[in-house]
Formats: sequence, C-alpha cells, structure tokens
Amino acid sequence: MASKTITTGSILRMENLYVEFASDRGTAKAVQGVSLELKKGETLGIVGESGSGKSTLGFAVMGLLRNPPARWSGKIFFEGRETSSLREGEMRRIRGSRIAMIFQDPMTSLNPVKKIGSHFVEYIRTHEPSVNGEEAIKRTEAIMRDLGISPSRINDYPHQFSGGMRQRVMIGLALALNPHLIIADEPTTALDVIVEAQILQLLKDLKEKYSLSLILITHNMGIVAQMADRVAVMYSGKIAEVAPTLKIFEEPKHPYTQALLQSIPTVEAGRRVLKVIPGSPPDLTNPPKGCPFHPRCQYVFAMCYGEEPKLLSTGEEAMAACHLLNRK
Amino acid sequence: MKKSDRFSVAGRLFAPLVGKGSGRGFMLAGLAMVVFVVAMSVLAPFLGTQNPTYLGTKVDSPPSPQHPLGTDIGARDMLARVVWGGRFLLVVAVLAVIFCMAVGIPLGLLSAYRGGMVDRVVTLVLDSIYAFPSLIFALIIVIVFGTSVFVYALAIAVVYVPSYFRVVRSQTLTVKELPYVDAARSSGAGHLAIIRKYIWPNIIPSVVTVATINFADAILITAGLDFIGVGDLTRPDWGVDLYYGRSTVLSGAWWVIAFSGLMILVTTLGFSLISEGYAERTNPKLR
Amino acid sequence: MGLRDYVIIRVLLTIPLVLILLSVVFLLIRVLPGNPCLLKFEHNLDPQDLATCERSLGLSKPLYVQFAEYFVGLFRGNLGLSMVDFQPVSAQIVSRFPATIELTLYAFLIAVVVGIVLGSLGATKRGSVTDGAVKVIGILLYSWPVFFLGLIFQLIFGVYLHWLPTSGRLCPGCQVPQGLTIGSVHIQTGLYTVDSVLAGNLSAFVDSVSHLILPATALGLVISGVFIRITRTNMLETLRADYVTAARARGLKGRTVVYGYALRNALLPVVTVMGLQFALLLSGAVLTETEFNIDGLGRFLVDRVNYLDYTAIQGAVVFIAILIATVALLIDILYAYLDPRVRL
Repeated sequence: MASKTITTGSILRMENLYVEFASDRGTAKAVQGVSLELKKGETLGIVGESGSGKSTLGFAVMGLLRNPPARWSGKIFFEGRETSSLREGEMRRIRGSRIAMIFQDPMTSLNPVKKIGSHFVEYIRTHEPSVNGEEAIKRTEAIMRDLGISPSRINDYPHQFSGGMRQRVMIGLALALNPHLIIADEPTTALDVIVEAQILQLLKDLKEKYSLSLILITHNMGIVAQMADRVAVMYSGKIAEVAPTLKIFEEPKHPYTQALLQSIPTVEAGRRVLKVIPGSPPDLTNPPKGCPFHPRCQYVFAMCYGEEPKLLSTGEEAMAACHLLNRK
Repeated sequence: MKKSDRFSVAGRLFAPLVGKGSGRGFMLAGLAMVVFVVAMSVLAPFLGTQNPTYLGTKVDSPPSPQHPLGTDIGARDMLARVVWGGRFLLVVAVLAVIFCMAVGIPLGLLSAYRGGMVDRVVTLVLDSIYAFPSLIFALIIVIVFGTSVFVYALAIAVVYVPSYFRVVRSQTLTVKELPYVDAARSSGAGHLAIIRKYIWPNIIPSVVTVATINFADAILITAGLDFIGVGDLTRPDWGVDLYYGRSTVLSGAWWVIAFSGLMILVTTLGFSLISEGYAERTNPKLR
Repeated sequence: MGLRDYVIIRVLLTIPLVLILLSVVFLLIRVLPGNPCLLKFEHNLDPQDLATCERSLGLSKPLYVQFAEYFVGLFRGNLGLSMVDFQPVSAQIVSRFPATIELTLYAFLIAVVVGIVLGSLGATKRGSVTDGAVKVIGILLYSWPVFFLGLIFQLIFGVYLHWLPTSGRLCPGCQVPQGLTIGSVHIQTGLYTVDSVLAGNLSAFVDSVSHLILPATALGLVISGVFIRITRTNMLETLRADYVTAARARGLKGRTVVYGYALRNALLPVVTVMGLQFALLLSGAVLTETEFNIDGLGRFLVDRVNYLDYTAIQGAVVFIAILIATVALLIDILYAYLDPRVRL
C-alpha cells in the first residue's frame, strides 16, 4: 500500500498538455488537454489501454518529444522550473540526472553491443565529467550490488542476462545519478509474474530508501493497487478520473474505471463470467465526438454524444469527467 | 483461383503505384526511362536511321548535320548505333529474367518447403554461386559456350538464380511457420493449396524487387562483357561502342562513348528506380 | 562460445564451400565444352599441336584421374602451365595480385567512407530534401556502369584538364618502388603506394597515388551506392530502436546517441554485406584494370580470355574462388568480434 513519506509541495505539474503526432493516416491526437500534479514523495499511477496517451505523457515530461513528428503545447513544471520552455541543451542536463525513466522492454532498451558496465560509466561521465574512469566503475559496482547483481558481471553483455536481471540493470541506470523523479513506463509488462513481484518490491524499497517521487505507467490495475498513492485513469488522450487509490478501487465514478475494475479476474470471485468492455479503443486520428468513451459505455445517454464532459470534483483530491455526475 | 484471390495478387503488384511517398515518384521516373528505351529499341527498324553497321569514310568525326551524334572508329553513324544498340541487351535481359524466375522461384519454394538435408545442400551450392563475382562467372560461361543471345541469358541466369532462391526461400520459411498456415494444414489443406493461397502472395513483392534489379544487372553484365571484348563485335551494341571507343576517347572524341554510355546508364537507372520505388512502397520501414 | 571456438567452426564450414566452387570451375573448363585444346585450335587444326596440347594438359587420362590431379596440384599451389607461354600460372598470378589488392583496397575505402557519410546523413535527416538527394545519389551510383564512369574520368581529368594520368600504375619509364631492406629481410609488398613510403621515395609515392586516383575513385563511387543504401536503411531502423530512446532518456548527448548507438549498431549488418561487396569489387576491378591498363589479376584474366589460354583462366578463377572464400571467412570472424550476440 501507499507509503507515508508524502510531503507537501508538488515536484511536477502539467498544465493543459496537448500532443499530436503526424502520421500517414492523419494527425493522431495522443494527449488532449491533460493537467496533472505530482507531490514530492508520491507514487502516481497512470492507467489506460494502449493508445490512451499514457506513455506519451512520460515522454513529454522527459522532453523527448521531437518536432517532427510530434507537435505539442502546454506547460510542464518540474521542481518549480518551467521545463517545457527549456532549450534542448538545458533539458538534456535535467534529463537522466534529475528525472529518469525506466522502460518497458529491458531486452531492447539496452545497447546490445555495449557491456553493462559501459552503459553506466558513459552515463555517469556524461552528467559528471569530472568523475574519472576508475571512480565511475566503483560507483557502478556499488549500484549493481544494491540491485542484487554480482559486480563481477560488469563486463557482460545484455543478452547474457535474464529478463529480470536486465530490468534490474535498467532500474540501476535510472537511479545511478540519484534523480528526484522516476517515470516507470510499464516496467513489468515484459516480465513473468514472479519476477514482476520482485521488481515491484525492489522499486518500493528503493523509493523509500532514496525518497523518490514515482510515476508508474501501466495498464494493470493490480500493480497500481500495490504501488500507487493516487491513480489517474486515462482514455483517448484525456483523463477520465483521478483519485487516491483506495477511493478509486472502492468508489470508482467513471464508467471506464468501473469497467476496468470489473474485468480483473480475482480468485475470490469464483466462477463468474469475466466482464469485457465492448467495442475497441478509439482511433486517435479520428476520436469520437462528445465523450470519447460513449461508444462503449453502458450508461450512455443523449448528452454524451454531443458534449465533452469536464473534470468535476468527486471528493477530496478526486475528479472524474462524466456527465453522470451532473445528473444527480 | 477464386476471383478475389486473383485480385489480391494483382493488387499486390499494382497497389504500390497509388498513394503517397517518394517511392511512387521513383517508380514512375524509372518506368518512363524503361519505356523510352524499350520503345526506341522495338521501333528501331521504323525510325529511319542510317545503317548502324555501315562502315563509312568519315572516321571519328564530331557531331554534324549528317551525323547528329558523330561517327565512331569505323565511321559508323552514332545516332543509329544508339538507337539500335539496346536491342541485344534488352533481349538478353528479358530471357535471363525468364530463365531465372522459372528456376529460382520453384527451387526456393520447394527447398524451403521440404527442408531437411536437401534444403541444406541446395542452399550451400547456391550460396557458393551467390558469393562468386557475377561478371567473372558469366565471363567463364560465355567463353566456354559462345556468344549467342541464349548463352548470355543463361550466364546471367545462372549467376542470378541464387538471388531469387534466397528471397523466395526466406519468405517461404517465414510464412510456413505462421500460425494460420499451421491451422490450414491441420484442417487438411493440401501442400499445393497452401503454397498457392498463403505463400505465393507473400513472395510476390520480394520477387518483383529482385526481378527489376535482375534486369538492371543483366544489362550491366552484358554491356560489361562487351566492353572487355568478349562479345560479338559486329553487333550494334552500346557495350561494344564503349569497347571501340576506349582507344579513341583519349584523343578527345567524347561522342563515341558519351551517348552509348548514357543509354546504358538510363536503362539501368530506370530499372533500379522501379526496384527502389517498389521496395519502398511495399516495405514501410524504408521510407 | 568464445571467439576462438567460433573461428574454428567457421573455418571448418568454409571448406565445403571452397571445394564446391573448385569443382564447378573444373567441370566448366574441362568437362563441358569437351576439350579446351579443341576450342583453342578451332581454326587451325594441326594434329601435332593438338596432340602436344592434349598431352600437356593430361586430357587423355580418365576423368577422375584428371580431377584428382587437379586437386592435388591445387594443394601444392600448382595451377598448371599457361597454354600460351608455358610459364607457371601461379607465378604469373602472384606477381599481378598486389596491383589488384591496391586498387580494390583504395576503392573499398572510398566506397565505405562515402557510403557511411551519405547514408547516415540521409537517415538523420529523414524525409527531407537532403534525404531525397541521398537516396537518388545512391541509386544513381550503383546503377552507373563502372567502365562508363571510368571513361568519363579519363576524358575529363586526363584529356581535357590534364590533371591526372589515365593509364598504368606509374609514369612510363619510372622505376618500381623497391620497398625496404632491413639487414637480410626485404619487405616489398607490390603495392606501389606502400612500397614507396617504405623506401622513403616521395616522388614515387606521388606518382603511384596519382595513377590510382581515377580508377580507385571510379570503382569506389560505384560500389558506394550500395553502402549508402544499406547504411541509410539500417540506420533508419536503429534510430527508432528502444535502446536509442533509452539512451536519450539518460540525457546522453545527441551526437553520442546517433553515432555511438544508432550508427554503430546500424553498421553491423553492413559488415555482413561487405563480403558480397568484395565480389562486386573484383568484378569491377576486372573492368577497371582493363580500362586503365593496370597490370593486375583482372586484366590478366581478360588478356588470357582473349588468347583462349584455358589453363591460365582456370588458374585465375580458382585463385579468385579461394580468395572469395577467405574474405568471406574473415568478414564473418570480424562480425563475430563486433557483435557479441552471434558467438552465443
């Protein structure tokens, strides 16, 4: 469950973020008017299907959206500073050292022809040029030990490690320069269940140890239940609902959130039929008018077709965008 | 084949012509060049040029009203030689591609499909040929068997069969393992049916790409052999022009090689452009 | 498996390849047309000459004996005697081979440099006008008949501008660079550019280089076309790879990511293609040497073809076959060294 080290003051704030991608079939509206805030020490889970825009959010925060093919607008504030207006040179200094990212597929995220140790050394020396080779290697070995990897493997290549070990390496890389914020984009999707549990525990432990703030991007409600303090549910590039974890699981207000929770198979529920969300994810080049979820929603009514629902408060630190809220 | 199957095959061949991207531009430019050369070669007897093999008196003369492109070492009209010079090359290329496809495609299909020892041996032999320099291999065949059109075509075919073989084989191997092919097989579909319905449509793009490059290389190899002096030197032929032109060009007679060489380039470039454009259209990764 | 084991296995696999090539050559030359002597003396058939020729080639012996003798001879490095001047073919080939190495080496360097520079330029500026130009240049170059490009060079730089020589490896009458002698050891590679440096002979160096510029550039440019295309294609893929995004996410400098991650990985498949490019280089060398009058293996082959000297032709082809197999082997080993995944 949630940690107790949340302090006041936000470490990250996104204001009205819009991101579009130019593609062969038209312009894909990946993120449409998202505003989110992350407090220091908090773990925010961002949940959604593929194509909901959640990964794009992560790239936007890192300043990795390149124009072309991406066009974006809006503001991003990190530790009080407006990073969205920084030039690439300045953003590069923050990227990797203050904010770090953990990627989904550890097999393809590591350079296959580079030794593991070399990944670290290059990384350390890019951000801290004064560090010499020997010192960098010592630091690398220390990190490896921290993560449960034998330092004697420093000269091994990525393909010589198992999937779980590789993800530990990725986490190690993310933490190597003591960042303040970590964005984990589907960190366990490519791993089997047992390894997943180990990695999640590792993340939790490291977060406590180093007082990190964490954004956890996933499509798996189960992970979010274990790890997140607050959850943001995204659909078709917009935020459907935001609330503290407990509230989202006990009182989900948005039909999409409800449907997500109902589609999780549980042992206790016995042999009930698994509920499936009908229809398919929206085409981002041509999203539905009105509420983007309306074609698949079981509660749909007249207003949903024409008007986009705004995010309305549903309680303390909780919001949802659904016309049903007005209907009471 | 059902009507819909036929459509999908034709569709794969021609679909790349529509739509956006630079691939289309390449294909059209290449097509224009090839059509020009083929038309000129086919219509040569009707274009009223002078006799390309007639040995006149004005040796190595620069372009003039009587000889718009000049004359060569045998006082032959260059314009006529340019117009007539592509015929042999094109015929060789066409024959070569036909031989190649007739042998290479079935060989690749069957070898990949049967697998096992047969496949390994055939692959090893063809890989050996593939690795060897094509011009030199063709050279050997031509000097051993003679310089007729068929020998040239055969030489190029031998050299190029491995290319078709590889491409068809690798595609067949991939498709063979796909789940839906497995499903078809377990529901009783015969081998021929599987090949026709699943494998064949998938190998068409690769085959077309290889075939167009095959044309281009056939022209280059044949012209190259002519340049060395191996071919029949009495033939009006762009490569032969460059053979004769070698000695005279050093005295400044640029016209004896410029136009013939340019024509070889245009022909080869045309086929290459078609090949690249087509490959780009059928493989999105290349754009 | 370590690099050493991989090398051993690879060498063992090369042997069948070479054996097949050598057998094919033997069959073509000896068996199929029926009789190389008959072909050579086609037009003036003097029974005496025919008989002498046949005896010297051992054509009266049964086929399998000829085959065996052929292979035994090969192991001893004996490629037979030329049918024209009755000199050992192997000696003639060995004396001419360095010229071909020199030409192909410089052509290859030019091809690789041009290929990688332009290819990576196109990939990093994907979709732009520069990229379009790179694509067109690549196609244009590999479609260009190398002998035509050579002629153009000769015309422009030799005849019109008088900047560079168009024939041979050295100026007429100039002495061949002698290399270096240390004590009783004499080092002479046969590569005039290298030998002149070893001998400290600057004018010979300049002379040999100036003779190499036109042929090597013509051949190099044409070969570069393929390199441009492959580098660009591969790099387009690697630039989109996850490890490139991850590297950027670590805040590594743009240049480091593009060259150290994307290009470095993109070049791996290029290495495997280099084996084929070598074959292309040899074909091109045959044409270029003929054109520029360079006394190398390629021109030797062409000359002997014109004389119908079948033994020499066979010898040259055998040499080329073994050369190709060796180069393919070396390239595979190089690839295994560069890509640790292959060694497994």
